[in-house]
Amino acid sequence: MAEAANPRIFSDSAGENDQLWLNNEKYPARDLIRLIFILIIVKLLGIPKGALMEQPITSLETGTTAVILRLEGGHWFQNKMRVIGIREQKTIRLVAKHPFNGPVVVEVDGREMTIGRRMAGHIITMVPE
Amino acid sequence: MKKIVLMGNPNVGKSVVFSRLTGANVIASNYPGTTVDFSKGKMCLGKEGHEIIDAPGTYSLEPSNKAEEVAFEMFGQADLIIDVADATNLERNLYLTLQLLEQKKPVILALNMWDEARHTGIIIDLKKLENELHIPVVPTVALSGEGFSDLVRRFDEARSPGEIEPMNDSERWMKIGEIIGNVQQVTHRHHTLWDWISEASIRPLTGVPIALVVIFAALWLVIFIGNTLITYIFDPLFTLYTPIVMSISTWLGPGLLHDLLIGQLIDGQIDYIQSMGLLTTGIYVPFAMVLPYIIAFYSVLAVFEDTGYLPRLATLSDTFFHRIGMHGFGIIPVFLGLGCNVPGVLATRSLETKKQRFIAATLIAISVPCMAKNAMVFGILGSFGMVYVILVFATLFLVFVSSGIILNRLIKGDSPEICLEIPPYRKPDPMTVLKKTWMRIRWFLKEAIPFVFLGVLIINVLYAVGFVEWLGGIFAPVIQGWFGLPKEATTALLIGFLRKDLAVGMLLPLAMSPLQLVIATTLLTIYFPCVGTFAVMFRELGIRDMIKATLFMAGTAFLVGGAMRLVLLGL
Repeated sequence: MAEAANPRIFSDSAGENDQLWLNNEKYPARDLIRLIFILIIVKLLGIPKGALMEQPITSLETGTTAVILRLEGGHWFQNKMRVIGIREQKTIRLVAKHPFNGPVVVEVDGREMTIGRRMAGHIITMVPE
Repeated sequence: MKKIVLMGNPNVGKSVVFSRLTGANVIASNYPGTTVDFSKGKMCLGKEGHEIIDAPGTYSLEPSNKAEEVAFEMFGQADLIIDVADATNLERNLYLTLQLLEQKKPVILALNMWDEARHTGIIIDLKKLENELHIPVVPTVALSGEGFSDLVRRFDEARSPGEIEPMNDSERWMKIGEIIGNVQQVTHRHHTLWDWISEASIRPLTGVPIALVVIFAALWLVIFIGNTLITYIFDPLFTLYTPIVMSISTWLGPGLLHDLLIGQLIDGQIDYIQSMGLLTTGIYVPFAMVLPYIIAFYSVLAVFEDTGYLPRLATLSDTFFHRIGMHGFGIIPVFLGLGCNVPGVLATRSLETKKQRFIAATLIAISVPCMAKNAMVFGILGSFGMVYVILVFATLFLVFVSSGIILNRLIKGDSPEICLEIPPYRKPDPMTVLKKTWMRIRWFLKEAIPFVFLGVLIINVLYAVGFVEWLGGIFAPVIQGWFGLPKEATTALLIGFLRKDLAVGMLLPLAMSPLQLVIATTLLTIYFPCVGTFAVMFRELGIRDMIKATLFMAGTAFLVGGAMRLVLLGL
């Protein structure tokens, strides 16, 4: 339902969810109202904000811990991620997100890794309740 | 003779293990991708001699860059494999271990950084792990040597276990999960101060200011150490040396031998930079002007490398390096190139694609000045004022960025994104730092001295036969007309192919204005790499790409030199 309200909330390009209303230059107020609307629904249903959906690690907020649900993309890429320790069921923490579509830094098993933004977009996670 | 190959994930300490086993020194650092080529060494076991090979690190037996291809090649030659694994990260390391075992070669597993694992609360049941893998498992601490007698003693027990059959990926991960569940216990670990620093230095908001402070501090330290060494050690030494050469000069009297050994006396005195004799300039330039900065640079670099800061810098600069067709890891070859271009170009092997390697190698050759040359620029231009030195480096930085942007557009191929493991911060071990610095200094002396001597010799011969006049005449339109330099500067550019430091020294007697010196020293970096860099580029890139790179350099030198002339000297 939230998806229908604003599809951009799920896309990479929208970037930080909490600053969404800044992104619409023409009608900033409209986005703000939408966001408040979504937040009210979330509050009413009693769902924690992050647990709403599965999302790529790139749309998490810095500092969030999540569980890796699956890897998308080609076999080669998936294998590359797994051998450096990024695998399904692992707990992953977003340590940093660099601006201008820069890389993200994640922590898995106490190890930090820097991964390009596009690659990281293929790591699908879920924030546990 | 048995071939024993060290295999393992990047940055688990294979090179330190290699040094321990063979007594041979190889460069080891705290970042993945230090070793890009194999090193061979020997060790004796009883009466038998063994050949030990240190291979670059790899996560799996499917190579994803040139360095990993080397590792794979070495694996094929092995009679026995020492699988070096990081005990603090066993789970991930087991993937390669299983792949190795599936190939039915004898393997012994060294669980390195055993002390760090203990500190971080990781408990591994060695007996159970041996039972799971059916190979000997030995805990080691390569830095201190703990566990090495055990490791060597158990070489014979290593055999290829028949129990591990080839599996597909998901079966392998299942197996790893099973093994880890059986043998490893992790107690909860509290966040330490280092964790906090680690995160602060990799987040954009805090990391960028930290990086700027660190880089400026390092730069200041290099200049400070270099100057201190010159003022308090090398200059006083040469003050003692001067009377000796002067008496040799008087004893020789004028003549060919005097010109060759002592060179030209300037106002009846020896001028160590301008005299151009083997015993004067030939010794003074490498020892008193370059060596102090080499010592300063490499000791600072060693501390940098061993703390583990470089991968963090790579992360912070990733976005910038993307614009110029590489990714953040490209900063590591550039840093090494600031010492000497040769190891810099070699380090490009850790980049994944041909495009990235070509851009990295070309940019290093064209716009990253080596320490030998920098030392001369500090020494000679610095005496006119720091602003001129800054002018040279600012121009080179501009050339680096704009060439990168252009090459990124011109060169076809992929530039994949960064995927880099960030090692934990570690306290550099003073002995390791000293040893590493010493190895690099020795390498400099071995490579540089013969070429400086050869350079001095060639200069003398060229002057004697009048070649300098002739060559200057031919290139006068470009050098004089286009770059605004005296035509004798042509010889310096020629010698620059042998040694750039000597070439900078040759500019001094030409009585140029500081701004002309700025143009000449900048061009000396851009126009062509020195012979050593040329050779390694030829080997790494192949002849066609080498020619492409060379043409690009010549073109850039022509344009940049002309532009600088216009801006700095006017028409």
